Amino acid sequence: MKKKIETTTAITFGVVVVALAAVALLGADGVQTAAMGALGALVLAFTKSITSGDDDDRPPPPASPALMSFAVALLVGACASSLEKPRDYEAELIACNALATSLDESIACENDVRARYRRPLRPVRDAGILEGGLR
Amino acid sequence: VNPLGFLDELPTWAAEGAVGLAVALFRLVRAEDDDARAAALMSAAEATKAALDRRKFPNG
Repeated sequence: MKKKIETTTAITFGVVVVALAAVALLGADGVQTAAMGALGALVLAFTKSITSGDDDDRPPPPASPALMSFAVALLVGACASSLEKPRDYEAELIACNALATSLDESIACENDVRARYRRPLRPVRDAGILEGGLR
Repeated sequence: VNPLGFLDELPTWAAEGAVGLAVALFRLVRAEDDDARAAALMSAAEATKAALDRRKFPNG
């Protein structure tokens, strides 16, 4: 059984956990819930990573999309629970994604919603933050 | 075992979503009133939508 935890990554992980714990303890009401959810998701992912590498040298499996969905739902859902407008806004944007059959159609629908809520429009064919970076 | 090893296989859409949500969370933590809080949450919703678009339409 090999268990070699690199010091740098372990420290990074520790700092993130401590930061989230601090927010969970000291943040405003909605933020506390989100931080606790993110902390839980992070610990779950960490546990999965550790246990999957116990018996052999295979790399750990990718993070579950369900895990990320859980964190997203906690962040947006828990915090938006007390604010009606962002909750409606999010629901309309998600509906755009669900109903669209192409990216252009989805962005056009999104821009209609953004315009109604007086939000800046999204450029068509958004290049994305990490285009080509992690693909 | 690298505790952050799961990041190696993280899909692009998930990475983008995580970055967008991290920014939104930062804005949310710093928000001083309901308007700022609402704007932060709306940017979180936009980041989520962009990530979902990337996942559903990976080739544009």
